[in-house]
Amino acid sequence: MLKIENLTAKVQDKDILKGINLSIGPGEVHAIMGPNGSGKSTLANILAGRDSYEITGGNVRFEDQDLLELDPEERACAGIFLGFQYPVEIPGVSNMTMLKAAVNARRKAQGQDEATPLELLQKVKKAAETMQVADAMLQRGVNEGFSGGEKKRNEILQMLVLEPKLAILDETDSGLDIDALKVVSDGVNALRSPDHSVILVTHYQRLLDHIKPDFVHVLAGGRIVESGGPELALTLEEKGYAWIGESQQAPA
Amino acid sequence: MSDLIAPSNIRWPTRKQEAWKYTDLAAWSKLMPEAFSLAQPHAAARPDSLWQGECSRRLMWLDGQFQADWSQGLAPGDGHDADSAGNPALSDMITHSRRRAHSLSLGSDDNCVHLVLAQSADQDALSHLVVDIDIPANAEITLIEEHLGGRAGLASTQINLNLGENAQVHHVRLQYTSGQQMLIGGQHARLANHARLFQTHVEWGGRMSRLHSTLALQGQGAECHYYALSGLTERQHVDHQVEVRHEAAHAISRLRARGIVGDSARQVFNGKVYVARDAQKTDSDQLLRNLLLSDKAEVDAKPELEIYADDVRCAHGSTVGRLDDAALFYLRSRGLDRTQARRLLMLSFAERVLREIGNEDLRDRTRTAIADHLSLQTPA
Repeated sequence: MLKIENLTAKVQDKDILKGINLSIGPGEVHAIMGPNGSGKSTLANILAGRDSYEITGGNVRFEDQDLLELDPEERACAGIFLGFQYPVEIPGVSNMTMLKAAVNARRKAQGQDEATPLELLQKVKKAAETMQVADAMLQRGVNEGFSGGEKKRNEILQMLVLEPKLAILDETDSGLDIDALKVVSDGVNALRSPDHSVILVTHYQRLLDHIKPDFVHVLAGGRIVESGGPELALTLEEKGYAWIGESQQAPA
Repeated sequence: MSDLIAPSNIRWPTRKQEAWKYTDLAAWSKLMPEAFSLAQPHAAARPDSLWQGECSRRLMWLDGQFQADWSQGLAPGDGHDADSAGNPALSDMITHSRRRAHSLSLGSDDNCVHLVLAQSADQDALSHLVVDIDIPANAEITLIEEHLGGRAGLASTQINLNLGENAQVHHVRLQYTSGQQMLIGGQHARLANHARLFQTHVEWGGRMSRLHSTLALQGQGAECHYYALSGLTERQHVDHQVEVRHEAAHAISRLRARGIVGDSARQVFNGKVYVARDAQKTDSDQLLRNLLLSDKAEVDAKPELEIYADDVRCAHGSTVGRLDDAALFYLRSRGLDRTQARRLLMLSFAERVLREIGNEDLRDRTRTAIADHLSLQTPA
């Protein structure tokens, strides 16, 4: 469903991605690991359509579309979701207001009528239950005054409501304690099905104890330098990133 | 007396007068119609207002003329003075206007008073209206003041609020007159001991709107909270001049003004806090925040302090910013298009003031109206 071919990108004059090749099939969960500064977040943001990067080569197909030609909102409506590493606070605009706008934007793009208030409410309630998010939080401003862990849970809640075909989770595990990590993992596992693929961008193996990936890739110096099954993550845990020959970055 | 008056025959204040520095009426007079009408206004139907709830009194004016047919509850009495007292810069304009003055003594049944200052759409009126409102001691009153309608006329209003001891007033002022209308507003509030005044001003209408406020905290422990929000597009111009006078001890004042300024619009806010020698333990702060949506939009925000007491807490700050790119991307990544995303971010900025409108229905209508108005701007 997603095919990245020889993708290169830079920020200002610095090359960040130096030729990424990656294919993701329906229902697959891929973990992308790598040291700080290896380009993991850049890749996640480029897939979602953030315009602060200059794409210098390669292409990305999502289903039958040229992904790089689409605006961020078009990608979202096509079924892509980015879970932010640093979710943004939007005080004064409630979670419910944003979710309603997001759900209806997607339905409109698919030629469907707006969701009824009841439909929306049921969907959000179910997701809120899974993510252990209280009703009061849904009425608060988007991420307004939320703790780091609450923000990450809120990202996964949004993901569950929007049911993306491809969820890209950018360091969703960072800053979580063990309990929150469990809740967030349960949320991601709840989405798992043949219709929903996931890219987990992460630093640490511990997330993969809870969400078992089908494939693990190591991104270092702007390239995927190793790919394998879940056992690759264990090797990394044991040996760090230093053993990967091409890595020029120090492990975190 | 003729029914017409040419703006060129009126002596307007100019920028040489400090208070009119940013709203040079002599210059604005070039944009006024060739002649203003002083004729009797008429309108076929009562205009719709945003506030739809019940109030003990609804008082409506058209081009400064009281409309008994559209009003309900006790009519206001005649006021004593529609002249230019206290407003020398505008004296010539006032002399040439259709003038009316009313006085309103609120009783214990008046928990909610709805003032509608409508302008007619079939003439460019020049009017001056004074309303003196007395709020008795210990009363709790909601005042809803709406300015709406109009064509290319100029409406001048002076609302004077006199709060007795321990009185509490929630005052919402909404200004959404039509595109070419001009307004010159004044308000003078006096607060006795422990009186509390909560004002929320929201403006998104008119070509030019000026509001000059004097808030005099004359009694000990009095409180005034002045919240203002404008949402401006095209070439709209809004100028608030606020002077808070701390004249007694232990009084509290809060000024919070937010402007969302797009296209070639201009927002002016001068907030001056004066603390008299005897006004010890004054607690005052003002915070001016503006959001610029285009390179041609302009903001002039100036907080000022003049303090003669030595034991006071006075703070002020002023910021100007733009819509946050990260927040814009966040919302778009959820599927909202650029227009929707901008709308939500503008509302996020506006909500700090809008939430001061206590009535939920009125708050929702106001929020929608200002967001719809801002959505008309040309995307930057």
